[in-house]
Amino acid sequence: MLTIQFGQCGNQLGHTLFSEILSDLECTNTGVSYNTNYQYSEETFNKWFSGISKNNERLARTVLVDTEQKVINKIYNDKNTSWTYSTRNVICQAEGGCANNWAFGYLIKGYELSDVILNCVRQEVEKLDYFDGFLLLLSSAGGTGSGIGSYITKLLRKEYGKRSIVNTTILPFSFGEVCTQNYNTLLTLAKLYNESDINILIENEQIYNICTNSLKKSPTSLQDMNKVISEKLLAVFQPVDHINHNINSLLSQIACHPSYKIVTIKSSPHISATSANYEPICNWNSYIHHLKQTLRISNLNLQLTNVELKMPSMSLRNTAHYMYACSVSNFLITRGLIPEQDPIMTNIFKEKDLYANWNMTDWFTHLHQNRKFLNRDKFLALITNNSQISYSLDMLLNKAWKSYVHSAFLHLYKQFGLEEDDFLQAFAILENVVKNYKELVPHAKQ
Amino acid sequence: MSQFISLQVGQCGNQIGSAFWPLALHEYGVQTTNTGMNLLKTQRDHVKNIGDLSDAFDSFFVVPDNSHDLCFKSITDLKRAKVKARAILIDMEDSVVGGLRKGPVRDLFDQACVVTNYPGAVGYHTYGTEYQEKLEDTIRHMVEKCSRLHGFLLMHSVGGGTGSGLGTAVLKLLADNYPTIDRLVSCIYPIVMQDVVTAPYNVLLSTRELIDYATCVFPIENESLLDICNAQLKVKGNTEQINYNVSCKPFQDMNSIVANMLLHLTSGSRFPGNLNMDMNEIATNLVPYPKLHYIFSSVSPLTLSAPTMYSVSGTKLIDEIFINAWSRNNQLIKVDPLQSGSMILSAAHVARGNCSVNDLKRNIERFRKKVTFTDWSNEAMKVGLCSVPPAGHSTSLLCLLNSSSMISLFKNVVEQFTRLYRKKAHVYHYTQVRGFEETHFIDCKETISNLIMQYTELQSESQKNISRLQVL
Repeated sequence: MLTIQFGQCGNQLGHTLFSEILSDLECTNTGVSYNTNYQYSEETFNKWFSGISKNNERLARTVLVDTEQKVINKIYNDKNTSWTYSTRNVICQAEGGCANNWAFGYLIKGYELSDVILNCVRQEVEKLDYFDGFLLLLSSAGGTGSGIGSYITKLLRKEYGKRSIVNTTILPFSFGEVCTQNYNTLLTLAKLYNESDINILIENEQIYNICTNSLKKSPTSLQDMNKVISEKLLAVFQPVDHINHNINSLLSQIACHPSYKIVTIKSSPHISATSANYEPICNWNSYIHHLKQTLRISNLNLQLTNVELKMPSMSLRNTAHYMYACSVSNFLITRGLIPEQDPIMTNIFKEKDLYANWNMTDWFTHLHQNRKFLNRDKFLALITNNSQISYSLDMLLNKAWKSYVHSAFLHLYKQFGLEEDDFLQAFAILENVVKNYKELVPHAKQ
Repeated sequence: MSQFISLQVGQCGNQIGSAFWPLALHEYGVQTTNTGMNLLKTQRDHVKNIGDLSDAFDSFFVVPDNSHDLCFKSITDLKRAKVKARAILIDMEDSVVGGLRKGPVRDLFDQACVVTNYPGAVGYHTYGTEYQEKLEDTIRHMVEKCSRLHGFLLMHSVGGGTGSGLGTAVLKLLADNYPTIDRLVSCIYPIVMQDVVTAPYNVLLSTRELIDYATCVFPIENESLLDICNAQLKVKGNTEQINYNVSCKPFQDMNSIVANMLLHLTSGSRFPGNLNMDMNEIATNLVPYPKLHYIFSSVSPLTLSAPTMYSVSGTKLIDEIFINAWSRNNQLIKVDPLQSGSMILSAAHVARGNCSVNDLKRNIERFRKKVTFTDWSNEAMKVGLCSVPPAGHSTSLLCLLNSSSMISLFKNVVEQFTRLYRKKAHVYHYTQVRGFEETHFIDCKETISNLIMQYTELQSESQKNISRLQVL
C-alpha cells in the first residue's frame, strides 16, 4: 500500500496515521501468541513501511505533497516519533499554498508538480514485490489537498490503470472553515467520483462530535480528531486473519456497483483514555447492534439521534420499528478475542431488507482479527456503502448551487481557466450520485 | 516562510513603519528601546516557540547567508549580523525617513532602500512617472533578495499628496511588474478632511486606484485609532500600555495599532498553525466578486501588552476576546458591519496562540447569530489558527469582514469630493500638472459610484430561485 498525503490536512492526518500504526505495533497487550503477533507486525510493517533508515528508524511508505513548507517542516522534524519519512518522498513547494482555490491547485499547481510526484510514486511502486493500491489522504476544503489531490488521482488512474485507488476525503465543518469550501468540495468529489475506486468520506463535524461527546476531550485539538480518523482507517486497513484479504477484495465487496463508490466508516467503541479502565466491556453482540443502529435514518418526523456518539447498551432491545438506510453493501471488521460464551453473531447485518434489491448475494462480509487493536479488548469498524450519504451531499449541493447562481467567488476560479461548464458538469455528476443513492430500494421484508 | 516587502510611502506611511519595525522585532523576541527605556515585553513564549520564530525571521528581514543562527536577542545582535529589513521607504522630503534612520531601529535600513528628496508636493502624475525608474530599480533590488516573496505591504495615507499620489503610483507599478504577487494596502482615511484642504480630491483619486489595482485594501480611519488610544489611557491596571502610549511621539501610539494589525494579518503565513492561513488565501476567501476588496478589520486585544492581572482566564478569556473583536471599540474603521442593515459577504477570523477548535466552533456559531448574511454567504467563513501568539499576549484575534457597510466610507468620499468640487476649489492645482485632465475626477467618481451600486445591489438582492440541475 502506498500512501500519498496532500496539503495541510492530508499531511497532518498522515502523520497521525503513522504514529497510530506504530503505537499499534508497540502494544504489549495483544491477546495473541507471540507467533501470531509477530506475523501481524510483519504484515503491518510490509504494508505501511518501506524499510529501515540508516538511523534504524522505520521509513514510512508515503509521499508527502504540499505547496507550502510550514506543515511539512513541522511533521518532518517531529522528533517524538520512532519512524521517519524518506527525504526523497517529500515534495514541497515553497510557494505559499494554493490559496484555498481548487482551480489553482488542479490546473496550475497540480500540473507543475505532477512530474515530480509521479516520479516519486513510480520509484516507490517499483520497489514493491506486491503492490496493493494507493491510499490518498486529502481534505476537500482547501486548495492543495482538493486540487492537486484530484489532479494526481486522475494521473494515477491513467498510469496505473486497474490498480486500486482509495481516496480518503475529509469534509470541512459546516460552520465554515474556508469561504470557498463548498465549491472545492463539489469539484473534488465530482472529479474523484470518476477516477477513484472508492472514496471514503469523513465529516469533520462527526469526528468532532465523537471527540467531544464520546472521548470527552476538552478542548478538542485537530490532533485528537486526526487520531479518531486514523483509528477508523486503521481498523479497516490493518491486517486481518483472513488470508486473501487485500484492498482489491475489499473493493470488490464494498464497491460492487460502479455508480456507488462513496462509503463511510462507522466504528465502535470510542471511549476516552482516562475512563477506559472503568467502562464496562460489552459483549460483541451489543457492539454489533450499536453499529447497526448507526445505519438508521429518520422516519417521519422523528429527530434522529446521532447513534455513533452514544454508548453501546448492554440490553438488546427490539429495534424492528426503526427505518434503516438502504445499503449497497456492508463490510464488518472485528478486532479482539472471541471468548466462547460471547460469540460474534452477524445475523442482523445479513437481513435482506437492509440491502438494495438488485444486489442478490454478497452484500455483507465479516472479517476478524484476534489480535487486539491499539490495546482495545474489542474494536469494530463497519465500512458501509449506503444511502445516508445522500443527505450530506444533498446539503452540499444546495449550498454550492446557491453561491453558484449568485456567481459569488466564481471569478477566482475563472482566472485560472475553469469554465462555467466545468462547474455545471461537476454539479451534474454529484446530482446523479445523490439521485442514485436516493433511489436505492431495499428488498421487501420477509 | 513567506516573505513580505513593506513599502512605506509618505509621511504617514513612514510613521506607521517606524511603529511597525520595533513591534515586529518584539514579536521575534528582539528587545528594542524607546528613548533608552524598555517599554514593552518581547515575545512571551520565546523559548517555547524559538524554532518557529527563527524559521520565520526572514519573512520581514534579510539575513546575510553566512549567519546561520537566526536567534537574535537585541538590536546589537542584528547589527552584528547585518540584518536588514525588507522595507522600502519612499517620501518626498527627508524628515520622517531621516528620523526613522536615526531612531532605535536605524540599522535595519540602508540607503539602497530609501527613495526620498524630491522637492515639491504633487504625487501621482509628476513623481509617479518621473521617478518611476528609480522606484522600479529599488523595488527590483529588494525583490531579488527574496526567495519566496508572497506579498507587498503598502502603508500610506490617502489624504496627503505623497501618500495618496505616490502611494497609488507605486501600487500601480507593482500591479504592472509583479501581477501575481498580492498587494495588501493598509491606508489611513481621514474622516473629517481637515489636515489638508485638498484631501477630498486626493482621497477620491487614490480610492479609485486602490479599487483598480490592490488585491485587498484594509482602510483605517484616524478617528477610530484616536478613540482607541484615548480608551487605552483610561483603562487602569495596564501601566505598561499607558507608559508606552505616553512616551510615544505623536501618532506612534496610533500607528502601533495599525502595525499590530499588519502583524496579525501576516502571522498565518509566517508561523505554522493547525489551520494555516496563507497570504493568498486572504484574497480567495474575502473577495467574492472582483473589486469588492475593501476589508473591514478589528483586532482584539488592542493593547500591545497584557495587563498584569487577568480578571478572567481560559475559555472565558477567549470568549471575551471574540466578543471584543466584534465590539465597536475595537474596530479600526468606523463602519457598522454587525448592524442589521449591512450584509456580511464573507468573514475571516484569525486566532493566534492557544485557541482550540472548540473555542473557534463555539464563537463562530455565536458570530453567525449576530450578523446578517446574504443569501449565499452563509458559509463564507474562514478560520485560521496560528500557533505563535503575539508579543505580550497569550491569545489574540483578528477579525476581517467584507461587508456592505463599507458603502458609508465610499459615500463619504464622494460626498466630500462633491462639496469641494461644486465650487471647483483648488482644481487648478491638479489641472496644471502635466498629464492630468479634469475629466479624471469625474471618471474616478464614476468608478466609486459603481462600486457603491454594486454593494447596494448585493444588500437588496432578493433570493434567486433557480432550481438545481435535474437529473434525467
